[in-house]
Amino acid sequence: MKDIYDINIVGVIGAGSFGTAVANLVAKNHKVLLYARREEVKDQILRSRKNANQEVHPNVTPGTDMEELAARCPLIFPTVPSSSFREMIRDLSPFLKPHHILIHATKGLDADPHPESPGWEEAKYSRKNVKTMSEVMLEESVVLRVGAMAGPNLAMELAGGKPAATVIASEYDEVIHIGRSVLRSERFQVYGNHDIIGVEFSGVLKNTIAIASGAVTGLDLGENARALLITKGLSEMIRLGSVLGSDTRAFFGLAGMGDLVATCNSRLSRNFTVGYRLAQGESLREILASTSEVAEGINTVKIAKKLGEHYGVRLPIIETLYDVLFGAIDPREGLVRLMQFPYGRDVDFL
Amino acid sequence: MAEGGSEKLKFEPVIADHRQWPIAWLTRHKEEFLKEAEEHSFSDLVKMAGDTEGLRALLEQAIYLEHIRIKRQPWKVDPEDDLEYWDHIEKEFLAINPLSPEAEQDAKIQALIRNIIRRYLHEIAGEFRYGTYKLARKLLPHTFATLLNRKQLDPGARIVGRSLHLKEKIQFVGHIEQLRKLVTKGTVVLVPTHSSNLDSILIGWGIDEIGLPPFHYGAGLNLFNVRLIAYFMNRLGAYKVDRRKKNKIYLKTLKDYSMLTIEQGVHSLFFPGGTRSRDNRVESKLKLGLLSTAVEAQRKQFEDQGTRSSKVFIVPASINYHVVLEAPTLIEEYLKRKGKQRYIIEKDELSSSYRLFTFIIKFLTRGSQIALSFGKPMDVFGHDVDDEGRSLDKNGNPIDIDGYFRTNGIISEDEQRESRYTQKLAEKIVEQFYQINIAFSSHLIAFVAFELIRRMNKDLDLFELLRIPPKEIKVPYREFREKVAAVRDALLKLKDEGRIDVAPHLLSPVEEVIRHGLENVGVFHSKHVLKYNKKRLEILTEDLKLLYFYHNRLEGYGLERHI
Repeated sequence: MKDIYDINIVGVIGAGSFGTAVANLVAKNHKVLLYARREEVKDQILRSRKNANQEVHPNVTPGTDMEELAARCPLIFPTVPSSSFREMIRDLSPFLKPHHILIHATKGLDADPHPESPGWEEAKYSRKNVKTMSEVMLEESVVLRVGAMAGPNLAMELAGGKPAATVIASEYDEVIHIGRSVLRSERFQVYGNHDIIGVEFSGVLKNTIAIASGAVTGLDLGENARALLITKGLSEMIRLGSVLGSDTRAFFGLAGMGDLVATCNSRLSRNFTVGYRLAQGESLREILASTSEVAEGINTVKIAKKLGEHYGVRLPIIETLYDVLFGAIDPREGLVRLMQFPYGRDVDFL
Repeated sequence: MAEGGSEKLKFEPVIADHRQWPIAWLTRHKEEFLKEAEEHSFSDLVKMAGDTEGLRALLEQAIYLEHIRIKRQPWKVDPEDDLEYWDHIEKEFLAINPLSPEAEQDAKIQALIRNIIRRYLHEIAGEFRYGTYKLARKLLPHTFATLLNRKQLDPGARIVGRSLHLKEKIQFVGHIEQLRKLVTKGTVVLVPTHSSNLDSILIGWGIDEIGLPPFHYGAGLNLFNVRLIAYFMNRLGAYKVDRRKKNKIYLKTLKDYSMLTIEQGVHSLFFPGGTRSRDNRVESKLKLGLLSTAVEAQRKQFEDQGTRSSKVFIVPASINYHVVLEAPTLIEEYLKRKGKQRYIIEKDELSSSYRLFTFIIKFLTRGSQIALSFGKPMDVFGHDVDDEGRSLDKNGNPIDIDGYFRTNGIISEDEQRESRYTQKLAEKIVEQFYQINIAFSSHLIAFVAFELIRRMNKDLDLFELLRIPPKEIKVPYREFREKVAAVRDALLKLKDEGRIDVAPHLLSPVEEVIRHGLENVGVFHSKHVLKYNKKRLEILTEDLKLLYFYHNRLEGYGLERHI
């Protein structure tokens, strides 16, 4: 009998470094259509079989036609940055049908007004105008079976064939199974979780702590300080996550704790790098001007801080980070402020 | 809700020939159909059980729970041989030698399970009779007319056409025209809110009144304790749901019965709240078991019929009263059992023919308005459908929903997936329940009065509040009037946003709305839910619990903000 999860060809949308890494993972056992927005990227992959500093697997065919991708691929992994995610789904939506399954791998939030729009400082955020990517997919298309992929998956390490694991979160067992069956390999393990909102917020919020951890490294504060940051950072993630509609358990899994540990120690992480360079004395403007790929954590800090305000959740680390990033206080000053914060109990979120 | 909306309309039957009614088909093919249902449940149960161990567990549970039920909760409607039957099954079961070959044991246990399924199916299945239906059809409007029209007591008014008065009292609103079109395009599953045992009769009559063929009902077996109701229900297309029976064989048999009738194209009705709303709130948590049968039936249609498959349409409905006769019992039970295990009310204000008769007399002497509101038809995924029954996406483009049951192009049975779909459908139904709920003057004044009393006693919790002696409660009329006006305006605004519906009488001047409300709120209860002391300019109550009950109908809209 034919395995119903045995898919012929899988779609990946977004030819950034993570999209390319996902395409390569899937390509081990499947044909892949990799959608790039720009023709140049497609041509370059066809020419050099390289993209985003990675070799591109021979099973991966680059393309720029969304209609074709939707028509041929029953399973699609959208991996574009959160700031263009809704627009991308809107473009894709006319071609999506009820039989499609979507698993996104974007660790950012959709906010209205957009956190980079003029006057964003005045914006107020709550769960009414802040959506996770899975919620955007449900809002903008007829697809019901959606999932999220998150975990300690630094694209460069995946590309190097180093062992790793991920979480596929979905309300549907089927989505988890199908995601597992296309991604799983001897070096890549796939876990499942039904709490998709929890997994999404885990992956999203950890980016803020990764920036802070980069700053701790840049200031050369040592491992004790980082351990403090990571632990208290996780508790901030959990306190905020639980008022946003997620079950706290997801935060202790690969998408939360796991990804936090990985990105808080790695220069391969864009978010970590932003914090590190801030601590080295660069301004946010300078850092942004010199990087091509998006560090999702920057917008997430804006959104998370305002969500904390709305729901009355104190977030000392995120609030301080916000002031360092946008209020132009010095990272050192931020540190002093943090150390003066009257923390109470060690574990107060369980 | 349009002023007197349904009055001008006269609905012709959609299907004139009663032999063409889907439910008539079911009656004609009853034995054959039950055989198919038996086969379906049996093979699924055997598959679920897995091995001899599993089969034994299944049967043991049924025997054990049924004996408990018979001992602790016997009902008048139960068959006389109930105990005898289950003793017999138990004896047969114990006679199976656990050391004999498994195949031999399996065969014996399976035979017993099959026997139980068959017995359950015959209990569940209704017997639609056109003759009785015709009789009821003539009788019921008459009865309702009499019931609801106080003018009947006035001999001079007797000449006036009854049905005219009836329509003054019962209003049909909502998506009736589309519903009428859809009954010939696919299978309609009507899912109303549930507050009174009268609901079943009322909606059955309403279905006929708007020209639809009769629906198959899931009605609580306890209703059949009342002979008068049982007589009609049996013949009007009801099937029986026994909430005492919780063993797996029964639950599976019941679900399959419902699912197969829907798949067969028989229009069905069940109360997705499972039971009457104890506190009179609009139901927000639905029972997913029966609802899932609609999703399953749709999948099975696609699976078995391919391109010829027909659609299942879900239509929420809301039944609105000024008075729920069982309110005292319902709210008492709610308060007693809040947070504890539910039990099933067997006796209440409507649980005997005598009481029903008394109720009729009460209705006779006073009369009270009822509104039946039909929601927007949806497919089993909650999408809008057009008059042809095509599903539409948010932009109004047609979509083929069979894709939701496909993995990699193939339609498959996936229980977990369908349970999620059912959950989403339930959310859509609840959303519509709130939108099609019709606010009456009585709800409005009960809401305002109770919220004011709550505000005056801020430091009391609900239970302490409800224990205040009613004599001590006095709401200043001026403030009451002012808040009624404010909440009324808020309701009208919500109505404009499509979040609730309001009865036309709410548009009158505030004084008139209050007068109308006072006259109607809980009108048949022995105590006044609310009354007005004109001399002292105070609003008073004789029963806080009942006040709370009627107040609850407008809970969940954030109206407290205006108090």
